[in-house]
Amino acid sequence: MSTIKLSAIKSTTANPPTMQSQNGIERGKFCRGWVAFGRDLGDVNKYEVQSGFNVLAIADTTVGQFTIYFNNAMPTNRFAIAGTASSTNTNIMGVCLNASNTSGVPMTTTSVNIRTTQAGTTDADPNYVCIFAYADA
Amino acid sequence: MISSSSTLVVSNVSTVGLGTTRPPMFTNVDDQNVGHLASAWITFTNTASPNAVYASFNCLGFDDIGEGRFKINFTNSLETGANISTSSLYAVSGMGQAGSNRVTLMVDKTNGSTDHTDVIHSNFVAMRCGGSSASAGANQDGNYNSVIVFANPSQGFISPQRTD
Repeated sequence: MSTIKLSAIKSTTANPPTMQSQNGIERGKFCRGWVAFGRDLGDVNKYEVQSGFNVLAIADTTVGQFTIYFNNAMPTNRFAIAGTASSTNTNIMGVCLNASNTSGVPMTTTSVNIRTTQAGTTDADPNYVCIFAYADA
Repeated sequence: MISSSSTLVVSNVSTVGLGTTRPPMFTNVDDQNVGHLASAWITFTNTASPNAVYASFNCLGFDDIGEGRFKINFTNSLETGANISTSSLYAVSGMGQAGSNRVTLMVDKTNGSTDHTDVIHSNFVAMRCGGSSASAGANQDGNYNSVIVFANPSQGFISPQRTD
């Protein structure tokens, strides 16, 4: 076993370096973007990014609907995201991708639309939302 | 190449001496593990004809096992935990879109058994997509599903944990 001590690893391409086991199989992927956002401490009617990586901003588009903008674009508009949301009350809250119809694409290389839902039936504003994204290459 | 600012410039990093299935560790100056790579992820539709995978890592694809139900198969098995033969007990999460319905992705466990081998397996994970539709709580196929998996490369690999 060997250890190399660094403060950073820099890729020679536009994508992160591949991470392999000793037999040359790629065994993991870096997260390409994540964000935790919630209600602004100074104005609970607004939302602010609490912490994040590669997230430029979030936009509150309407009740229970948000757009997350990435700083550096994803390599494709078919990336994987997952997340959770908490409610401002005791209701169960879910989070899902947001498109108005089955043919709509809920994401671009620089943004993704999500919605936070209450009891699975209506869109509702959340208290705190966590999202993370993984992309090709 | 290592620059004067201690930045390693590479296109690929591979391990030695950690076993054939383990990626590199990421530790801080105190040898605490401070990062972890995703073990697998996938995006796909199961409403198209035929069903299609959009993009993935370490996934062979998925099996459509019913309305709103699917089994994702891994290319390289996720390592199993201590005293567990085939159930990795890894972390899995996802998000879906089924038209304009409000849906949730969840592990497709429909009984109270503490044996999760049928759904959380080193070779696959079984999940379902459900939510509001004509009948509340019904499983439904999603036109965009995404799933992300984190697994322990080995028991003990992640220690010592950060405590701050």
